[in-house]
Amino acid sequence: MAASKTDARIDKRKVTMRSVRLLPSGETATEEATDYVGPDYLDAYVADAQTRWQHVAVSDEPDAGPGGYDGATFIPAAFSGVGEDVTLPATGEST
Amino acid sequence: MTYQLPVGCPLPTVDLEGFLAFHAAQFGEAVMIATGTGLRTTLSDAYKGAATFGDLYSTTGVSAAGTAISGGSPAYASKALSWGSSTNGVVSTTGTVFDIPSGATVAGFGVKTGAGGAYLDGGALTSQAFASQGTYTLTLTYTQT
Repeated sequence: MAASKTDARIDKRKVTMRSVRLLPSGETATEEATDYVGPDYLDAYVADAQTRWQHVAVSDEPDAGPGGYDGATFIPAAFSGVGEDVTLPATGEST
Repeated sequence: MTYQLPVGCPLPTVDLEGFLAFHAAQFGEAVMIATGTGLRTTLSDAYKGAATFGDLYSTTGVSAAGTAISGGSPAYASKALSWGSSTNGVVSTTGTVFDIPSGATVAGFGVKTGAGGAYLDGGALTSQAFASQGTYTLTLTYTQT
């Protein structure tokens, strides 16, 4: 069973990013990316996203997303503090 | 004279004046170009009829398909595009939601003729590396000029 949003182990926040882009072919692409980001690099993540996306919003409540609180997490080198990408595999604790 | 593209052929970018001159020189006849909204709607209907599936790529897809995203739970998959009705040569999809795995970077998209079909068209998207399993919702509007 998936953990509920009120599970104290959930500390990620839902980050929603939106943009509208006019493509050379005449198409318009409306994009919306939804990611779930841990508190240790949330501010840096949002600041980086704001350099590319027209609108970035962070949820008020913790939200682990479809991967759950024990899902895999990827931290790009720019935010990891160790100079390289960090991948934390899913722990499978909720299974 | 009818010009017909083979099935699966990407929609071309046409040098219209060059094409008209070529046709007149080659066949000794002028080409009548209909510029009304009816033709534009017919052409946009042809686009939506061909572009039935979409993919997201970790690379930009412009002249050819990029590298499709893979993995995750729920797993990434190509999605059928749900186009609305053409109006004056303009047609849009509803928002198509793709599941994106942790660690994947979305950078481009492509449309194709079926789930395993031929690439037709595509472009760059706002690049985003995903920290966790998430979603990317893409809404396309095609405008026939």
